[in-house]
Amino acid sequence: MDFLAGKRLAALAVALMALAAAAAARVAVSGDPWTEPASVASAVGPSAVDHLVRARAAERRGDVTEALARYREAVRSNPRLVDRKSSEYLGSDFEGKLRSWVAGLREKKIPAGPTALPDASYLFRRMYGGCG
Amino acid sequence: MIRKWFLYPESPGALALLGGLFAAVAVGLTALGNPASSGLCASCFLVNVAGALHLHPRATQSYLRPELLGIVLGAFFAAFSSREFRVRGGGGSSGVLHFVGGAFILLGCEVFIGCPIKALLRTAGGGGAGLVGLLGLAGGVAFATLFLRDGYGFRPKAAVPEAAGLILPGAAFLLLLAVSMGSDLFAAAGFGGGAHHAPFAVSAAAGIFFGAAGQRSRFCVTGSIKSAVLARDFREGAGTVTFLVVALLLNVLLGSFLPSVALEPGAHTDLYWAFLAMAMAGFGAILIAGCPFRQLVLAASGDMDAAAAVAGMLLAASLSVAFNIGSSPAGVTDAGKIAVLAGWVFFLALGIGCRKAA
Repeated sequence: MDFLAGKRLAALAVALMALAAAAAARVAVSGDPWTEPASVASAVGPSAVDHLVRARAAERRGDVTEALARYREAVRSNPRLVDRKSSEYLGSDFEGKLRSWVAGLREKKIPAGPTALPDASYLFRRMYGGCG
Repeated sequence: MIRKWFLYPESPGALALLGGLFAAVAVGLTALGNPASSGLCASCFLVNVAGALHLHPRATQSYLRPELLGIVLGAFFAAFSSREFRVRGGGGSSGVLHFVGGAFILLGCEVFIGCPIKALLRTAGGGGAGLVGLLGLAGGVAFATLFLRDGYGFRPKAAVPEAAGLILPGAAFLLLLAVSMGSDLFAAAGFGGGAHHAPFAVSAAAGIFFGAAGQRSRFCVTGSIKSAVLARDFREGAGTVTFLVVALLLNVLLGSFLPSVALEPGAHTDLYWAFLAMAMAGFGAILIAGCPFRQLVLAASGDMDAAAAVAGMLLAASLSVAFNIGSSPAGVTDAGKIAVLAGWVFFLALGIGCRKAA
């Protein structure tokens, strides 16, 4: 890598700086960078309780895709739902169901739409992690 | 012989043993209550401490992590007892550059969700995004070595009044004392990441071990990669690799090993940004001489530039929450992307600007 030294290294660094600055400007003008899309949705859309009611209704109908989408929105609005330390925790029954949904969807044993596995995975990641 | 092994660990065997112990304690803390893959994460702990000190308002990320305070105290005592506590600083603009550099490294870690040590722990848990972040970190460090070869460096450090070096260890001691006496001055989470923690005494003891062993062994993930790339010196790498292997084996034994991208606990699946954020953190860590954990250890050993970096990291920890820069399992925010790109601009400018200063 000796050829990448002196003026060549400086030129590469300046080019990368320009690229990074342009990309940052593009991200800044393409949206509202300081607000998380999820928090906007939860501020103006249905509440976590509404989502939970619809999720359970969809579950009873056997519509796993809709149920998981609604559970995802409920958890986005209120992360306490998947936190064992919270009194609002959905409980070990839900945890067991989620695990079986994830397993069934990964093995394609549960018929569902393309959003079901990403939604189940999101709920799983939320439930078992992390610092946030 | 054994005393020398532990007090002056320089051989690959001694460094590997310490790396393994680090991993065992870190995985143990997770088993005792810390969040997944967060037995040792300097950046997560800094965000929690910033919240506890009311520097940001998010209660779920507020807890005065005794591990962090223990790291500072352990490193201070180890440096003091081995006569390596020397208060020094680069002078001039060095402190400011370390402050801003420390802030950007922390923001990179928050976009990835974890410091370089957590990248090891996430990889050891089977996390695909953790592995991608680790590869990004290695790439950033390798890129930084081009600048080191080209004459990058700050001016040699000079001695400064000793009292300055006692501020950080003194603050850590007072905070630890206040918490152990049951002070309710600090914010604490009732749920969320901040509420998940190992017992206080165990965490404090583990932190003191991390700090003391880190000071004696110079444990640093980015530093070990740099030594391997730049000098073909793999001794430090032995500690890092052993850390990864021991953490992986323990995760398999405890049933917490799950190889997956989509199901990695607490992670997001934006692999491109995980790579880019950790590459920026790795690049920057080499330019300011240490990852977040190493900066804490150096600051406790009297390095005032590292103390400036720690102050920058603490500020960035609060900004990360206030401006939604930190990622979540939902993904990377636009503010996080801008922070990573701004970090690249800053460190590239630093890399060019300080090439002839050595």
